Amino acid sequence: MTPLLEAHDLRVSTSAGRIVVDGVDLAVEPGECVALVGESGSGKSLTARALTALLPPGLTATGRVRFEGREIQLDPRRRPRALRGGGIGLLLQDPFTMLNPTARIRVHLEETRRAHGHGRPDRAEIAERLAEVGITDARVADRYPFELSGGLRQRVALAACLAAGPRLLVADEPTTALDATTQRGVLALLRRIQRARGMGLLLITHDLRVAFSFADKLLVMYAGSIVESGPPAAVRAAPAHPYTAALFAAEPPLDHRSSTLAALPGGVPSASAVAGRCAFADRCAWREPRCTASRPLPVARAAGQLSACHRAGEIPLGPPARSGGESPARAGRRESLLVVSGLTKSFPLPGRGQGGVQALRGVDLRVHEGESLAVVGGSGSGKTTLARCVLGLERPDGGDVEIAGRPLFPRRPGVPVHRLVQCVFQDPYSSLNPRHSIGFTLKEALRQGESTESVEELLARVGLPAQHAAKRPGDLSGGQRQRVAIARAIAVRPRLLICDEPVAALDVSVQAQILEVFRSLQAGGQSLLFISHDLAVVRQVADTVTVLHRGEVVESGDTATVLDRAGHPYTRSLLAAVPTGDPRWLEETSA
Amino acid sequence: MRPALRLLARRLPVSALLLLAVSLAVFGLLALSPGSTERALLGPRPATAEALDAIRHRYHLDQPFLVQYGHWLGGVLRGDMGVSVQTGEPVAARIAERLSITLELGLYATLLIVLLGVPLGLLAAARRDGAADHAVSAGAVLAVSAPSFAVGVLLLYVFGVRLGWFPVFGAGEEGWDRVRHLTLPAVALALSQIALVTRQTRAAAIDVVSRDHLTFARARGLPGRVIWRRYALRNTAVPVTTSVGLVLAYAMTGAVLVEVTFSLPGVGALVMESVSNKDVPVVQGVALSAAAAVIAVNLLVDLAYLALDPRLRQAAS
Amino acid sequence: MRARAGDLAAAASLVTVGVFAVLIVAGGRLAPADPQRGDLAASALGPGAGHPLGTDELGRDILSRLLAGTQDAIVGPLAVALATTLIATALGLLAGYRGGWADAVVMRCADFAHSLPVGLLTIVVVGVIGGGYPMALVTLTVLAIPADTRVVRGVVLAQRGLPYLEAAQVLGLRRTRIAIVHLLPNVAPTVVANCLLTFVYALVSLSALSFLGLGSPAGSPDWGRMLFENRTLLDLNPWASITPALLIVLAAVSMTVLGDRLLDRALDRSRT
Repeated sequence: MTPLLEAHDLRVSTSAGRIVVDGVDLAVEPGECVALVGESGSGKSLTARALTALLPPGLTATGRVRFEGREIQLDPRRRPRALRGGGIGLLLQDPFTMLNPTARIRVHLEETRRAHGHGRPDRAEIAERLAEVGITDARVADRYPFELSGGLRQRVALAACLAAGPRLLVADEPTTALDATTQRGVLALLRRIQRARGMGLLLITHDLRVAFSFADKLLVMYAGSIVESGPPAAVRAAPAHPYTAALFAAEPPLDHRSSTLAALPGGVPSASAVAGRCAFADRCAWREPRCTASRPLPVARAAGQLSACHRAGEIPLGPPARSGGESPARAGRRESLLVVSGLTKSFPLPGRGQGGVQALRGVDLRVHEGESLAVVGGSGSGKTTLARCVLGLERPDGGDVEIAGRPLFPRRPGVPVHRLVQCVFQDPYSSLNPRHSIGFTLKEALRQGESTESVEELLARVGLPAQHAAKRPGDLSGGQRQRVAIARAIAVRPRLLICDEPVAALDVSVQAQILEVFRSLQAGGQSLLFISHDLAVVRQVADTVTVLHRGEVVESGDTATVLDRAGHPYTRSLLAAVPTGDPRWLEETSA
Repeated sequence: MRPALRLLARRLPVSALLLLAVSLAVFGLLALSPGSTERALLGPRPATAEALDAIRHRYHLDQPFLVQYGHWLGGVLRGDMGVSVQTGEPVAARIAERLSITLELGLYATLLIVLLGVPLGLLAAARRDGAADHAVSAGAVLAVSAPSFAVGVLLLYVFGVRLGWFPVFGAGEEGWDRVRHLTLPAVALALSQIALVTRQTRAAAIDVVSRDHLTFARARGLPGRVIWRRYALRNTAVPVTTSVGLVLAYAMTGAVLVEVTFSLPGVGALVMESVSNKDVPVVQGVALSAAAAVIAVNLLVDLAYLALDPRLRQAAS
Repeated sequence: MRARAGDLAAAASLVTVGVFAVLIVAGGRLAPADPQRGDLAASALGPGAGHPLGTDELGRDILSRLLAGTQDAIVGPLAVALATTLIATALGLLAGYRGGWADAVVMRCADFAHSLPVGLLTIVVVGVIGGGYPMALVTLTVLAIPADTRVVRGVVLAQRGLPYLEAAQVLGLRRTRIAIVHLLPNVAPTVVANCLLTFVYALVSLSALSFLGLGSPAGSPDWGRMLFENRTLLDLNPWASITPALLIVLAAVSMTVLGDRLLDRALDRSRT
């Protein structure tokens, strides 16, 4: 059978000659679903853009690509219009920016149909096309994109893609921008439609477990090239490339607390830095001299599994072993450090008159000395507002916040709140002042904490070398910046450290490194209030869990108890939304 | 049209308040002008005791400032902006007689700005980093900061004196002759604004082109004309409308300079005549009318936004 | 390619600005003749021996007058630009960072100025009230502040939501320290670029006022005034009005190029 899409030696480089995708081979059979997995900087999205001839300005692609047996052009100007959308469709990541803000939903479907030589679809046809993507409310057709939620917009975008009748759909991280509970529904829908239409599907994702449950075939990409490919079940059972094994091991498990989060050292290099050698060599525990001397070719392993590793077959790799048990019981004085009671907060909605959004509706919680409490919930649950109230960045409407026996509201002079609570923010790229050196930032924090510690000692505590003090945030990677942000917070020696989604913006391998930093802080007796939407991450750091839903606490208790024997339906839906890596994960839901 | 009505209901009182404040400032000019107010209003006529008395009575000068202002404002609201010190004619009549030249000049310049600025900006964006883009962008940088009077003199020299293609003086007769006479002034008035609109359009179009929704449109195989019309043009309309609105406010000032440069008998020239003859009532009349026009244009621009962007329509209602 | 063309333009502008700087200091001494001494026998001569750019109606040497005028042409606008930037930055920081009533007051004033024909008002104020050159400088500054304040406030608001400022707040730093040590360095590139564009506005406006016979005193070798006085000599000695026009355009364009360049870089930096 001829493959639907076949790419050979696909390369993407900048106009300055820098390589970003370095010789990718891939094939998608008709009706097959292929997942391309990689961390940021791996070149997976640019591979998708190159195949669809939609590279951003300044990037050019070379290589041979055949679609339905015929060679197709990679030059955007020479790609026939009928092939765009009709042959190969592209679904983008961000549903909030993908649709034309000035056009109604109907128009998106109409223009696509007409662009491919069909007549203007009537109301019934539009309703039918929306129903295909699970939108049963026909009035959506007359709405503007900004009037819809993210999940609905992504469904509309999918319908707009399908309106062109693609034989292959390239979906670039289609659920990354969505809430966890929405993600599963959209993925299941995508899988169902792909099967029903017999369409080829190339899914680009950073999430190994999503790829395991979703795909018929898996490609793992690292620093511009494909390091491993094969059937998901086989790869899952026995990764053949050290990078796949490490990526798999870095994924925090949901069902237990791992005693060590096998963290990969360092970060993803650029493709041009590792041209002509094994891209993973610098971070690989199995490195040999030949790994840096030449680029390994893909070697066939078990059933259909290929690994681009010089030592494939020599090194023992397997699925991550289940390590450790529940959290080490920290014998501590069980004194309350943070007591929140009856906290309420609402935000006015512009143009909606009175009322507004009720972000917190009477929240109670308690963090003991030396304990780590995780507050979990989806977007809009109020978890970030809660953190901001405790930090004093928002003024609550009602209720009390008490830290170490001192009430926070109303503000009293003489209570140096900053000595009691500090915070690590989500986005490591904007939480450091780009204009100041790391040393300046940390010195300022040490001064605020009246600490005698030196900047070097502080950097060492978060695992950074002393010479980083002279650098500016722009010179550091995301993971390094987050370490600096942690250092700034602990410089003040706060009684309570609040972490607002501190690993959500990081790649899996870096995420594990940062979680290890938090664990070492916990071992030193630091109390944490950990805000997260990711239950698997929470499992790794929290002693107790509080579940927030629409501004109310719906469940709380020991981490193991809440996550293993959830009582509230909302907690169960959050748990069900975590990818398991099992194909049944997507089958069980009804979109 | 309900969002539009809501917007008007919210903005009209603000505009009225704004105009009131301007009128107070404009009226204050008279008190701030050097010399005694009676003499300023008397102008070239002999300063006899009776004449001064008559002036004092007519302008309520023996009463407090705010009362004087009240009388003046009442007159303005009835369309009476006082009489010209210089000629004794009503101010409104003097402005009306000069208005057509200025309006024609402004219309001509606006046409040039929209019909050249927007297409040039789109062209530069479509050929980004190509030769056309470089030429347009370089021209725009040169033109955007070039003052209209300096450009006017250069145009006069090249096209009027050296080449003799266009007349160098006056407004000419109605019709085709008028167009010929107004061409150089309109170009001088429009040049920097064409450059401004070109740059705004280019920047807005490039911004739209880099957006996801345009990539998504191309990925679905939409034809180029649909992409440029429905996506690029539509989404650049808001920033372009903003700069066209600013152009009109600018044109009020530009008209003074251009009319002086090309000796056109318009409202701008009237301002300068009145300033040099200390004809304060005429200056007040023109300043107030100009401010009212700018405020009205700003309001129209805001209404245009509503028509162009559904998100703003929702925000307004 | 584009970057290289931009670099070239910026370099040329820098050289131009440098030449102007030299002329400000040494302009008067370089003049071949006394800029004020007329010679009616040599009225409105074209370029020739002794008068490289010819003479005006009163027989004064054009080149000498242009050189003598450089200082006034540049220093006045510079004063307006610096004063405006200083006040507008303070107000913009206050409005953008403090918010609340300060923001409301400052922004209502800015809106007010935005709805006015600013240039026309300058002409009217300087023309009717008088006060000459100093009055022109003050009026231009006052009328430029609202627009610049709006720009600074916009940049501040874009920064205000960023976590690095909240982190500084959580560290317990005082508001003034946050505003000056943390916020200002991130706003500065835009402020500097905007200062150059304000300079252009002041340069163009001041020469426009002179062109209308306002601001600079009669008989002074002001470029705008020379342009107006000599425009009737276009057929006898066109250089008498073309050269001041070209100088005004040159000064305005080179500063605009530099300002644009800085603004682009400031925007690029704030995006990464």
